[in-house]
Amino acid sequence: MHPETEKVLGSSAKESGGPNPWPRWYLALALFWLAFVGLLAFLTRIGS
Amino acid sequence: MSTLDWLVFLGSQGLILAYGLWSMSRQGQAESYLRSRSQTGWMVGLSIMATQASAITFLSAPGLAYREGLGFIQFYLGLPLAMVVLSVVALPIYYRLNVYTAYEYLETRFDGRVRRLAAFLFLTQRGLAAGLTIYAPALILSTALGWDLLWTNLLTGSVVLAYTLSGGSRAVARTQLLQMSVILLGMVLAGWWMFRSLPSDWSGSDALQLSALAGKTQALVLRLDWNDRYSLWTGLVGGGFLMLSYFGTDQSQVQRYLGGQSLSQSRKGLMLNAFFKLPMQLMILGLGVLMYVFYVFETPPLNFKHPERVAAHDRVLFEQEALRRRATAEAWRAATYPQRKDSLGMEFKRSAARLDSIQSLVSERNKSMASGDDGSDTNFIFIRYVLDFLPVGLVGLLISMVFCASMSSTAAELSALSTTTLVDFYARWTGHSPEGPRALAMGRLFTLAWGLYAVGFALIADRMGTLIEAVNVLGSLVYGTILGIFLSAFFSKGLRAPSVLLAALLTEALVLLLYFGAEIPYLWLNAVGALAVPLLGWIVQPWLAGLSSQSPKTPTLGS
Repeated sequence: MHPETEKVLGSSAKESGGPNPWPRWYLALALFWLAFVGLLAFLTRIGS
Repeated sequence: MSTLDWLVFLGSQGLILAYGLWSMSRQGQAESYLRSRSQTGWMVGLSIMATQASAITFLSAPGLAYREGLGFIQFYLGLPLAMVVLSVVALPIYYRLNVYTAYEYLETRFDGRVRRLAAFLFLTQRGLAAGLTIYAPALILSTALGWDLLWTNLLTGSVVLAYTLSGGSRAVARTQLLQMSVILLGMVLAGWWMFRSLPSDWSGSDALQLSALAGKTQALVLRLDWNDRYSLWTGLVGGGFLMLSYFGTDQSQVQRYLGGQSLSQSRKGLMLNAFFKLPMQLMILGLGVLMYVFYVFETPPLNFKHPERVAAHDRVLFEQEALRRRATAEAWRAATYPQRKDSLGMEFKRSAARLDSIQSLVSERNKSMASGDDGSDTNFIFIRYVLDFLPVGLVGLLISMVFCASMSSTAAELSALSTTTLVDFYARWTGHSPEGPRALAMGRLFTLAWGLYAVGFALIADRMGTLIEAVNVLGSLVYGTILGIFLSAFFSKGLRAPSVLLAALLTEALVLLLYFGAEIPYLWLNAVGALAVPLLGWIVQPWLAGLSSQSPKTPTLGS
């Protein structure tokens, strides 16, 4: 991995000095994605 | 269109144009012409979405769902993952380096040649695409409304050029907010009207079950088949790489999120897109499915593009079958015994299939009748519904929505083309700063030049026949290579400029060979290109050791 990328990943978004909020955003997004794929699976199932 | 429709259309477009021009008075230096660092996360997110959603999305997607169901939604399934990767990796690097364009980073990491190659690939692809984003909706509107194609092209092109020229990146972002509002309002109102036009005793659940019977709710394909155009896997892998490349390395998008007030606000914009894009796209496709149910009760035209090019006996046959389908649907809904309901459901499916085959036959005939006509009427299904069934006033709003979608994409494209030409070529070669009055003048000159190029391409596009199709696939032919260059820059410590340059050229040749020789579905080409550049880079690097004696550069803050 390039040093600049490592530096960015290491300091990931601790901009204000407080706790990093982004991992929670990403987790929420992952759950949302799973729910959305679940909805698509439901729609597909009612047609089969 | 009625007088009220014209008032709504001209009023909304006039308001947007005036707002765009007003933005001019709010900026006076190149910094905000090229990159307006003033937007909140919501504004960044809406701007990203407005740039991606072109008019053809709103015109074609409902028609696609009307014919083929919801399967196209899988194309977008890789988007949220791509947003996270960009938010974690690319965005902080662009902010640290304080770049105007994504390609500046490549010079810091590799050298000027790699930067110019990526910028050149972008300009080639996006320049032609800008012409197409003007031409495609103009063609559909002129055919459906009887407007002159030349004047429709000129009207769209000149309005978008006027506010992009005057207000630059800030005007593009601000007008996109209004345009996105018109687009969302138009879609919601069209859906509401469509639903209330169904028979009053039909519930939403009845409509959903009927569309499921016709196979329109098939939204997820789990089998792993190389030839499936859209499946969970093509969407996640191929679509994921395409989204990564489009949002991470295409300046028309990079410029949108670099307009955030801070890194945090830009990240929020990317997250907004990650959360809202999938539901918005499902809503647009859902309109097509709802339209299918509507046309069960209202005999549809046999061909939405050329209703006149239909033989009388075909029409009679089609209308009789449509009446049979309607009667079957009503009997199916009224049936209470499960066996009877199943048997009527099967009859409805057979009737729907018969209508599809008559329609396909007519499309094939139209295809053979006129050269340059692919026979498909998918792009005309939604606009035909708008003109034939929406009430006065709403028609004007929906036509305005199509113009908004077209202009929001075109403006972002012109702004990005101008910025890339200015920063990656003009300023790089002349040594002038990309900020200041001289750069502002040059930026406007490049916007004008690209605008004229795009409008010029739009004007001759109808004479180019199959070339238009070639422009459509061009994006997938170069995006993989560009992403591969960026992935090499982000994730490989030892790869050097000559190796990446040679690997990118070899990859481009490989992608072209695969597309034209092996006829692989185009989404996979993005993944192939993105992975081939770093892989080939490592393979050719030992052979180029003598040429690449200098050590790789490490980007520094503010360089």
